[in-house]
Amino acid sequence: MSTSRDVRVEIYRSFIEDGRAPTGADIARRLDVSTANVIAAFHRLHKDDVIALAPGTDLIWLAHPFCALDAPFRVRSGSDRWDGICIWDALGILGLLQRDGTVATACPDCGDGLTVEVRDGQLVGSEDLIAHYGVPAARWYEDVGHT
Amino acid sequence: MLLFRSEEHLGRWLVKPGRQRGETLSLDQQWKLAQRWFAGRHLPGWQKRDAAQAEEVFRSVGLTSDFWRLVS
Repeated sequence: MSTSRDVRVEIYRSFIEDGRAPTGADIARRLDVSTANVIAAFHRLHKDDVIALAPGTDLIWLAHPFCALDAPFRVRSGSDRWDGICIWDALGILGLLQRDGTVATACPDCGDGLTVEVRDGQLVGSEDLIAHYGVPAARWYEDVGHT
Repeated sequence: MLLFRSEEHLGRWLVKPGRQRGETLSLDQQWKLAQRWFAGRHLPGWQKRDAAQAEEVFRSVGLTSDFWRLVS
């Protein structure tokens, strides 16, 4: 039986190196285990809020901070790009990777584009930008998409 | 966790019905929180934080109000 740890590491490897979410079959091939074992690990990780599966499926939607689908926060580092569902996750991608890059999104009020840059591990500019958290921490996982 | 151009823009956005003010972070706070929260999450030895450990990360970037409380 594949451990949740092995599957988690493989999920992140795929996001980081391949730029996409793996399927259960992808990981099963790499770990030489059954797809059913990998899918069982997906559901354990989902239950523990480590990843989020697309509702009613065995497909990975989120492996925080990475999002499998196009999302409002677009992260670029060199020639690589990823998506994040919020500013925390988007900056978290650069933080996890310890890489410089940019996060592009739009201000929810005016719709104008906003770009945040990390250079040499530090934020560049961005003094007036603020992140707003609408849901208290204790309720974040009630509806992760809304949070 | 949305990103606004400024406090003024957030204030305008909050005027619409159904939107409630929560808490705001400077982008510097947000960057530090993101770095600390996700450090090593992709590595074999990573373990999910319990509530007390998560609150400690919040405190380390100055987030100390009840909004950030996880331990009852």
